Amino acid sequence: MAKTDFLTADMTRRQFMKISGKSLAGLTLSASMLSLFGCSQKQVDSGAVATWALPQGLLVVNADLCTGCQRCEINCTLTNDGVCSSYISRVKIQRRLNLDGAGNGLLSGNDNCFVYFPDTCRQCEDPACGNACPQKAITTNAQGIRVVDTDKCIGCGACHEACPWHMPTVNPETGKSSKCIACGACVAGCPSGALSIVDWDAVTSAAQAAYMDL
Amino acid sequence: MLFGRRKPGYTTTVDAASDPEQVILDLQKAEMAAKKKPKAEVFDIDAASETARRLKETGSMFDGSAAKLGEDVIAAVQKETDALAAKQAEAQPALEETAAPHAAEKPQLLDFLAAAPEAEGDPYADQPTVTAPELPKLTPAQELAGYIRSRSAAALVTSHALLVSEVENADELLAQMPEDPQCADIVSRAGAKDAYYYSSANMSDNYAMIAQLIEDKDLCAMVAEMVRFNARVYPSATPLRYFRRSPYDLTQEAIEQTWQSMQGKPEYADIEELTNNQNERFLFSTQHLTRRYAKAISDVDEWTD
Amino acid sequence: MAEYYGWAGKILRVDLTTGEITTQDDAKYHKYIGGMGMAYRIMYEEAPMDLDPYDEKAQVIFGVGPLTGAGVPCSGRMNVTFRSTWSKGSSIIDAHMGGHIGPMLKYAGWDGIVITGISEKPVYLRIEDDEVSLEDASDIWGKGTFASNKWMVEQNGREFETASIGPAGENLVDYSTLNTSFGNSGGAGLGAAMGNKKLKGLAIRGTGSVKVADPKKVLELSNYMMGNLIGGNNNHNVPAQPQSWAEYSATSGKNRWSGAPGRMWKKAPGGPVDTGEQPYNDINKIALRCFKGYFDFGAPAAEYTVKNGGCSSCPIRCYTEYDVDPLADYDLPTHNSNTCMPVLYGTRVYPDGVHDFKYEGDGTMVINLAWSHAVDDMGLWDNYGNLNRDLLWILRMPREEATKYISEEEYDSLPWAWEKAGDPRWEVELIRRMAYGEGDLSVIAKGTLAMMEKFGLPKSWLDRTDGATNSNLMYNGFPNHHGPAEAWQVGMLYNLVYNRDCMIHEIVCETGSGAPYEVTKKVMEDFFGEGCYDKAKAYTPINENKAKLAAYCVNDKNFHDSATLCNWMWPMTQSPSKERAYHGDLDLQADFMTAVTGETYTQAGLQEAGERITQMLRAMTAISFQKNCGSANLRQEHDAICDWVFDKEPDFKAFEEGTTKLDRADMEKAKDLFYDIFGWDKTTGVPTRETLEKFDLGDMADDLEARGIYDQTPAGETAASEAAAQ
Repeated sequence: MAKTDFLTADMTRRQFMKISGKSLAGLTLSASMLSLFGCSQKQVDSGAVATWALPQGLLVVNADLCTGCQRCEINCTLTNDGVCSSYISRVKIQRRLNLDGAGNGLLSGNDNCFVYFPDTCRQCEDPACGNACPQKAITTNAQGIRVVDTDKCIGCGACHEACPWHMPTVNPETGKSSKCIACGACVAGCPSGALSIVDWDAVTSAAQAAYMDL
Repeated sequence: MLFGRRKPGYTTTVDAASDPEQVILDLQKAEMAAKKKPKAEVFDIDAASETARRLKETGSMFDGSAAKLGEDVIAAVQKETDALAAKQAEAQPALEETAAPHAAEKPQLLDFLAAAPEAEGDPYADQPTVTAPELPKLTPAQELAGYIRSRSAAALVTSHALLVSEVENADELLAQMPEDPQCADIVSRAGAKDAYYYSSANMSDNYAMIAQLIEDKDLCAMVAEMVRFNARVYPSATPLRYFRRSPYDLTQEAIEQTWQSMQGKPEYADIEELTNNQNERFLFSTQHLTRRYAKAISDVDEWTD
Repeated sequence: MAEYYGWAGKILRVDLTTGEITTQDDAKYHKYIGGMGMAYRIMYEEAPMDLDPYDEKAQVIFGVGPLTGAGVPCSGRMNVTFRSTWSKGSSIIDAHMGGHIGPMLKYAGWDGIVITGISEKPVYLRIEDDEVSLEDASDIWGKGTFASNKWMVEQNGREFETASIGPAGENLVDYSTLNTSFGNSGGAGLGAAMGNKKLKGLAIRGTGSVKVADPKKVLELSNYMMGNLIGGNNNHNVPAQPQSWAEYSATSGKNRWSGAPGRMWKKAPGGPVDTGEQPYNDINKIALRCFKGYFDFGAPAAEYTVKNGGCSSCPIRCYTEYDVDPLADYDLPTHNSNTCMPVLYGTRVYPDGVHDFKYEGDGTMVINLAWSHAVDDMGLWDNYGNLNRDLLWILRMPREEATKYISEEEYDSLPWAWEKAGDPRWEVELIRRMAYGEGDLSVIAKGTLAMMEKFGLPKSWLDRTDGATNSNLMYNGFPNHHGPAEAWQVGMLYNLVYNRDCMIHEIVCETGSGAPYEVTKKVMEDFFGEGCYDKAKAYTPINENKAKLAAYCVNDKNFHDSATLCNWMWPMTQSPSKERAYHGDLDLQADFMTAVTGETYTQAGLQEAGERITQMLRAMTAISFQKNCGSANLRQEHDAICDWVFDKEPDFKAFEEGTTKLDRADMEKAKDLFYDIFGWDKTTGVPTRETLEKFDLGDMADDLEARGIYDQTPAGETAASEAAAQ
């Protein structure tokens, strides 16, 4: 046990970056951590819960809570594009609603037909989108977020193709790639709490509390 | 597999012995008490509540998270969380046996993180972490107010008895609160056996009345009070099953017994029973409703959605 | 084509006879808002009411509006306008559907689709932005809507939203729907209107966007709405059971803000999710407010619930998504979801009752969810319960009586053993027969009026006081769907306007909320004037403010189906906020119109736009009644009210405390006031020339005049009708 790994918010964030974008399945969470994430151990075990380490806090995605309303897509595009759209949204739920290609979705006609949840940008440590960009238009900004330099972007779609989850999307109306900048608009407006951001101070407190339990 | 799904043929196991519903309820209460809700940054809270604005301006939070600021309060909240954890730990094995037989072998999240290799040379990792700004130091009375506030956010009134058992000079601090504008939302309510404190920013007066009646543990008085209240305020007759629901959570037997023992007592002479056209039983108070009208508004009409 | 904010700016025209697909700039229809309003204008100009509903030139018009897909909460609706084949007068009618397809149509760049002609072979319309084509649908013709929608998504890609008719529509069954997503559908006979054209469905993908004039304002207004104004489903503004932040709750426990501590989604894959408390200003818990299953079925619902669902853009998730595993024992699908009539009325076809399956009290719910999946798959509509009520009427008769209406052979071919056993396959078999038009019994799915004609039932059959088998307020073939039982004379008045059930929720959202009467009364009187809001079952005689309120509701609803906004949620009349004294904000919809379109709108302006649609509807109804009923006197032919509305509950007098019955003379006075507000002739109920010209509908006035509709009332008849009103 190394309580010293979680003494400050910054240390906590660096720890959580190691599993950013991955399911928590296979891990045991303390009661304080479960309470903080608003989920149960059973949800963790079932693979419904994944976390992303963002500068402003830990993004928690809970698939069991997603009700498919698309408000994440709406808030993303109104905030970042000044228009309302689904296709160019940086968080993507519509493409999983009907048939997601993995046997889930409303029309799948099987046990998983009510399994749908938003895909979010992983802000990968080694970003396939940025590596693939022929213009080197995807760079890291002052907050450490991979962003598209729209002056350099030629809308070739290499980022979309390279991303294993096809998260960046070339906006057909502007010819520029839209990529998540971790602005948090989707989370702020999520009516079910399927997307939530827990601030680092709270994660650190919960981590310390977990050690106190032992 | 990311978001791996359940096995075919899955059904939820409900283990009556460990009462998973209670576990979830407790988890939720602890969540409410311990967790800061992210709503403040989402919308303009000022428009919603003058009280909230004032609390916010003075460095407090609408949802009672100011409770986190004082050490004593953290300890108090932590104690509740720990008690819950212990309760869950008891309940968990029963649940886990069927759901995940190898639960014991799964590493703790924090151990797993600490053991994993560092993310080296990642510009993203090297960026500063956003942390909450330092809030002004609170007085002991304000800290205690924060504690009451956080319990109100978790739907709990706080008895005077609990406060004096937790905090040595509780009475002194409670006496300071009316003088302090930051504590103006803290309200007390006299019950039959004790006084109860709550934050009017997080709890309505009517709910505090219900919570106090529950704490008083006089079921006849509680039923009579609420049947009268519902008849006077809405107006409505009160289905017996109203008391089966949260926050009363009485059993059918307890409700029947209570209603039995109310009958024939002069102080409850105004409370009468009726059965509606769907065979559901209701109580109403003749102080506020005629039987004819009470029956009519309790009947369920043919309806379409 | 010009660029607009809000509107896509163009509509699609598809001629199924020739296969021709063209595009039209739609700026000239913007004063009709979109959706319903735009479609009424187009149909009036191009496909007159003289046409037979199944004529090759008859139109089916899909319409969305400036707010659809613009991010406004509760705007995921699509309106479909066509001709009724089953209600009196064969007049203009709408289906209204939710789900995700309406916004997708906007993202593809279209405000509407006007379908004419009849295809030779089954086709579906494929829209991928500007690429539009008719594709062969012979592989799915004959298939249910779930399989058809899945097939279209598989053929075209997972980002497509689809909608399909089922066997009912293909077989021209009048009670038929178009279904999209999971349970979202548009009814009113839309399935048959499309089936007649051999149009199986739609598959739409849009990669574009809806341009909004002031995106920051749209976000701001959305947050204001979600943090201060919105309640639960039907905008109920207090929770169903006490929550600590709330002053009030619904004492009956029956309201649609039905999520609460201890009420759980027990079949969520990761274990029970408690819907918990949802403070009114916490926008991250709004989706947990409505637990429609709990509202409909109580505790057993929790046992089968996986999660909530609903439409695009709406934070109120009024669909409950269930895994009803006992149905597997009958080889029926277990995953079901709906919010409305399909989940409420299945038990009506079991005169001997239903039994529990797995949990105490779950019989109603299991039976209703089997009904829901079967009608949705078959694309069968229930006309707001008339299908079920009319079936119950005959099914509960002894054999010798029932066989006066259907043959002995058919009666005996029904699997009665399943009915007696409460077996869900009984209802599924009935639904199948209805959807394929099999046997005499299936006339019930051709409409209540068609059934009455075939079975030789007199008009007075609709006057019976038996809510279980008759809730028809008028003689036109459609039932009560929010009427005087919830909204006194106001509810009766707004039912007079349409050629199907009124679909108006402006008042039931208030009266059904469970908030204290005095609290809601204050809100309503502050908005609509003194005396406008009666107490439950304690009605007062008609007054001008009530008549005005009824007119407001009609115009407001017409705006909603044009904009498009969900009329179950809008307008924001009440609020759950004590700080606002529970007052909502009626101007919010106009503020959204301004922020989205960049043009200045006021609530008064929206009322005017809504009333323009009301007037078009009334004029077109007069034309079709003249053609199909021999008289355009709408007061007599269209607006007549069934006797039971006045004669029920003989122990009570009208206006006595304890009843919702109405008074005849008072109701005639109410009609006078209502017609007066709308500028309709008091004798005939037809819009006057002056009225139509006020709304730039002079061409309709010319038309009515040319058709002799303005000459139809001799002076003597006026006096007689006035005398009758006394």
